[in-house]
Amino acid sequence: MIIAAIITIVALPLAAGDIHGKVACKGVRNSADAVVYVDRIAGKTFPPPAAHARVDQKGMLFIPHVLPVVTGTTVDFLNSDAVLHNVFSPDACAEKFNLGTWPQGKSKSYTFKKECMAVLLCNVHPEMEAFVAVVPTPYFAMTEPDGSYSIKDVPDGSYTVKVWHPKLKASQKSVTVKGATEANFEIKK
Amino acid sequence: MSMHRRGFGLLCLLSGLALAFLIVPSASAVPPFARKYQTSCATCHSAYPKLNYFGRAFKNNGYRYPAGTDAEMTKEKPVSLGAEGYKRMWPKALWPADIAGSIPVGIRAILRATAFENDASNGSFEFPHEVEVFAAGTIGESFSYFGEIEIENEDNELELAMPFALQYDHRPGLHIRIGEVSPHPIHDGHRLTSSHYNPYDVRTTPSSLTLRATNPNNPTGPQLSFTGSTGEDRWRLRDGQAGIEVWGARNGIGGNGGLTWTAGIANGQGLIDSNGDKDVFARVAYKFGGYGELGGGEPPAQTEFWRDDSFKVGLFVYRGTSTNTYSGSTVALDPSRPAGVGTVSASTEVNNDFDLVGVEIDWFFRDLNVYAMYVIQGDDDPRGTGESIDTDSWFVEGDYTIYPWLIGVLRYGQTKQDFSVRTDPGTQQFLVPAVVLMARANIKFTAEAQMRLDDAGEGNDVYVMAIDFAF
Repeated sequence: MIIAAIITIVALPLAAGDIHGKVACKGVRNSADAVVYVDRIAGKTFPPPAAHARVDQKGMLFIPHVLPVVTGTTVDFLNSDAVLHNVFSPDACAEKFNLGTWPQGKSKSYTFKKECMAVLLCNVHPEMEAFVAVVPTPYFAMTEPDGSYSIKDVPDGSYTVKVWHPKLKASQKSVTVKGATEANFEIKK
Repeated sequence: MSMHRRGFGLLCLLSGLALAFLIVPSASAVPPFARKYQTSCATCHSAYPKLNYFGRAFKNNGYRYPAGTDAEMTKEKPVSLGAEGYKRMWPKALWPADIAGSIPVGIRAILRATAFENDASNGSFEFPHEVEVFAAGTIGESFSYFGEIEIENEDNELELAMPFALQYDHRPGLHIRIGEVSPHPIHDGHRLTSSHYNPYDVRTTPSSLTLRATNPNNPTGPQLSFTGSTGEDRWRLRDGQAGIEVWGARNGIGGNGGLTWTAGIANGQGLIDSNGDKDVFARVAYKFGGYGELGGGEPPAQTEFWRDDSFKVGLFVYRGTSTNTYSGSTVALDPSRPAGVGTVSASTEVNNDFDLVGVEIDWFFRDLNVYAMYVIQGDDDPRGTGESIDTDSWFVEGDYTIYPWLIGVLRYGQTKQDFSVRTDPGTQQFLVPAVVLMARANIKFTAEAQMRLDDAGEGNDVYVMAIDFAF
C-alpha cells in the first residue's frame, strides 16, 4: 500500500497543473484569437522547439490568423495559392522583416528572436493580415470562440498571466498555480 | 469677384494643399470582383482603373483567377443554374452554369473641378461629371461579362452610354468577345488622367464641310455656298466599338511574361453601322520577364502590387472606312428678284478609307512604369475633296509610384498632320503632368494640367481636379 502510494506520487508530473478559464472579449464578434500566456519566469529560459511552426497562405488568407510561439521559434510561411504572395512585418521587434515574394508551393522562413506581437502583411494583397504572438514561455494557449482556454503542464507556482488580442487592449493578472487553476479575464477596446 | 469664382478659388487652394487631383472616365475598377473574392482593389489595380500585373492576368484568364483556381478563391457562394451532372445529359438538358450570389454591380462617381486658362470665369464644379453603374462577373466556367451604364455630363447635357460585352472563354488563353470591343493597344479606359492619349483623339473627318447648290432663283448665276454639318460619330480610335473580337494570351518562357493577341471586326462608327464595310483590327504583343500574362512565373524577390519588372513590345493595325453625311441649307436670295426667296438644302456623303499602324511599349522598372505608343494613320479622303491626310501621333508616359498611395504622372505627346487645307498647326504638342493620390483603395484624388506646348495651343491650358470613388 505504501509502496503503491509512493509509486503514484513519483509518477505524477512534478507538481504540474494547468491554467484554464475564459477570456471574455468585448467589442468583437467572438472571443477567439486571444493568446493567454505565462509571462517571463525569473531565472528560467526556454529553448525554442526544433520543429518549425507554419503559417499557410491559402485562399488569400493567412492560416492561422493568430499563431502563438515561444521566443526563438522559426516559422515557415507557405504559399498554397496559385497567386504570388509576400510576407512582411512592419514591427521593429520582428526586425521589420520582408521575405519577398514567392509562388505557389514554396515557402520561406523567419526566426522570431524577440518577444513580439508581430503583424504579418502581404504587400501583394493588402487585405491579408495575421499575427505571430512571440511569448517568453512555452505556457500559452489560444482561446476558442466561446473564450475558453487551457494551458497544460504549468508547474505549480506564482506567475503573471497575460492576455493579448489583435484588436483589444492587453490585460494581465497574477495567478498562483496549484494543480488545476482557473483564471478568467475580460478584455476590451 | 462672384461667389462662384471665390468658391472655385477656395477649392483650388484646399485641393492644392491636399495634393489633389483628377479623374478617369471610361471605367474598369470593379467592386463586384472585390466582393466576390473578398479582396482589395489593389489586388488587380496599381491605382484604379490602371491594372497591375495580376489584374492583367486575371483579365487574360477571362476574369478568373489563374491556374484553374477560381472556384477555390471565390469567397461568395455562387447560385447554381444547374447541377454539374447535367453535363452528362447534354444535349437533352441545359448545360449547367452558375451566377454570382449577389448582384454583381458596382457604382462609380467622378467629380470634377475644371479651370480654363483662356476663360477664368468659366471654372466649374462638375459634381458629378460622370456616374457609372457597372457589372462584371462570370457565368459558369465558360462565359464572362463586363459592361456599364454610363451617364456623363457633356456641356450640361447628359450623355448615356451602355458598353456591354459577353465573352466566351474557351480556355484561359482563348476568348471570343461580342459586344463592346476595344482595339486600343493601350487601353484608354485604364489611364490615370482625365485627358485621353492624344493618338486616340485624332479625328481627321471634319465636323462641317462647305456645300454647294444651284440657286433656283438664278440657275445660271454663281452657285450657293453654305455650311453642312455632320453628327458626332466621326471616327476616332478612342471610341468604343460594337463588334466581335477573338483574343488570347499565353505565358512566356518559364511562366514569365508572354504573348497577347487580338483580332477583331467592328462597326467602326456607332451601334448602327454608317456603312456596309466593317472595320478590322489586330494586335500582338510580347512581354519579356515579369509576371506571366496568364499568371505564374518566378517573381523578383521584392514584388509590390504596382511593380512588375518587365518589358513589353507590341504591334497593332487597324483598317476601316468611315462614312459621314453632311447636310445643310441656306436661303436662296436673288437681289434682282426680291420675290424669289426659297430655302435650298443639300447633303453629301463622304467615304474615307483609312489605315493605322502602330507600336507600343510598356516598361516596368521597380517603381517606374514607362509606356508609349506611336501611330501612323493614313486617310484617303476624309473631306470628300480627294485630299489625303497622313497623321503621325505618339505619346510617352511615365508613372512613378512614390508611395503606394501617391503617384506622379508625366505624359508628353505629339500629333502631326500633313494636311494642306487646315489652318491649324501641323503639329500639336501636349504635356500632361498629374498627381494621383489614393486616399483609400477605392477613393482617388487627382490633380492634372492639360497643357498645349505648340504656338496655336498657347493659352489654352486646362486644369482639372477630380475625386473618383467606387463601391
